[in-house]
Amino acid sequence: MSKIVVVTSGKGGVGKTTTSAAFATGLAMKGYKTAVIDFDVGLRNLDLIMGCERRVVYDFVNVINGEATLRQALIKDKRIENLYVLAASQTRDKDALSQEGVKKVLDDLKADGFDFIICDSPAGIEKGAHLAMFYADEALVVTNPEVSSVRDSDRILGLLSSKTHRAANDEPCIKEHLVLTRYAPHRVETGEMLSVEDVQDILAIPLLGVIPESTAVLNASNQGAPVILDNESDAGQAYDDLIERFLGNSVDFRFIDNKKKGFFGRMFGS
Amino acid sequence: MTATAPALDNPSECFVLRNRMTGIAVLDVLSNDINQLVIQLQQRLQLAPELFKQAPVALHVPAAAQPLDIAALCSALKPLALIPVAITATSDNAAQLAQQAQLGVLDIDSQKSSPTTPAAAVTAPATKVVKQPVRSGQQIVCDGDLIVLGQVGAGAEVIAAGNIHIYGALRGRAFAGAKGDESCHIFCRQLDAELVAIAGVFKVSEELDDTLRQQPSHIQLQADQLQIAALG
Ligand SMILES: Nc1ncnc2c1ncn2[C@@H]1O[C@H](COP(=O)(O)OP(=O)(O)OP(=O)(O)O)[C@@H](O)[C@H]1O
Ligand SMILES: [Mg+2]
Repeated sequence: MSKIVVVTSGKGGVGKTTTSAAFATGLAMKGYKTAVIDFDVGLRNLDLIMGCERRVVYDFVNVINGEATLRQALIKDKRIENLYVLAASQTRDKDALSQEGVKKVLDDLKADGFDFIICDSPAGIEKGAHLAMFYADEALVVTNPEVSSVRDSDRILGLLSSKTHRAANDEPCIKEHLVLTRYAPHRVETGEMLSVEDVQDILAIPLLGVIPESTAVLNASNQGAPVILDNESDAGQAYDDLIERFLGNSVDFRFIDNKKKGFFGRMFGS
Repeated sequence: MTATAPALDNPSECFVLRNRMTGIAVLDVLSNDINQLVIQLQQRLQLAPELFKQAPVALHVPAAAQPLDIAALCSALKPLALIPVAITATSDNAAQLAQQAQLGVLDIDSQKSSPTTPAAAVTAPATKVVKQPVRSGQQIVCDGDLIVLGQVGAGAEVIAAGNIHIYGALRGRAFAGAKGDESCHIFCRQLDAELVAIAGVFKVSEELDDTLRQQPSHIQLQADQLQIAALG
């Protein structure tokens, strides 16, 4: 059975595309046949993070318009077996996506035997975000530890439970997962950022992962290699933990305490 | 009173101005015998004439009650002080009926009718139980009492003609007694509201007593003042 997972947030720039790329890559590394689709028509970002921007011939909109077959448009990853990217169009506007078109592409991917189909949502609550979530079975709600991001995620959770195919057909609810990104424990301690507990208290959905603020993310995107491939990095390891939990394994949370203790802290264990 | 507070000075008007859906009754039409329907309806309305006086009603017409002379039904309802305004979207041939009756089509849930109900039943305001958290941007409106099992998030709104019970945190806005009933109450497990109102009398977050914040609370109206007390 294929599973459609939307990566969504409401607020922009919180780490949806970074998360989509790492998540899809990690699932494929574990042997699952995975496709990741860029729904951010007009801004096309995912292919850069995935490092396949120079191999894009056809995109999502071409497939929807019947100008290319799905097979022609799916870009096979060069590093990881079983991983495919469907890029967004940079030249069209977001109205180029239609609900029937999206459904057809998702159905074709299912028929092709994909285990996971990851939908990288654009920011906002407009058409693109709506279509990215519409057919989802599960959702990664990406949130930064700050009030406005949490508020937007709450809004998105409301839409997930009311404005989706499952909601419209009285099917079981979309399974919601909280992904807290750009987490900086020392800034939580000084009160500049909300804590994991604060965010969980407000959103009241299960926590799937906490990704630390990390320079590895920027390096990864500059190299066009999803950060999960950098298994030395904190962010890479945090994404790996997240995927384990998603697959049903229980893994302790890391990178959520302020470990950088001073000399006396280390000496006396305080 | 801050600029963000809605105009609630006239409680019976405030939601109409904002075009809210409070106070729409749904008339389930279960038979196409208009005479019989009117007789039964008259009997029903006599029980509580005030409740539906000049009340806007949406007509729900399932296939079983068709063919139906919808225009004749609408004329028959007017002497009863019921004002047909729409056909529910869930009716069979909703668009066609709406056109014949020159009404709108309204997308609201009609009460499912059980086989034992009489030929006509005006659905009474009932208690509504919301099991999901009410999220930012969502609005729950109910004609009776409202019970929310989870939280009401910041940026969310719950509105009830009756009482409001929230078994989680109240971080958004809650309006009880939205049709003017001053005897309504609001209860919540954790008070952190943006605004609370009963029968149009309201307090915004700024005006809440800090000692009551985050506490289980009970809000009621006494001598035109909102009284907020810790629960238990
Ligand atoms: N864990 C992290 N640590 C440091 N920087 C991060 C982290 N996650 C994301 N970023 C940075 O934040 C910026 C936005 O990330 P990304 O493009 O993934 O967000 P997005 O939610 O997809 O944005 P948009 O809403 O524009 O689609 C990028 O510059 C990225 O490098
Ligand atoms: Mg993005």
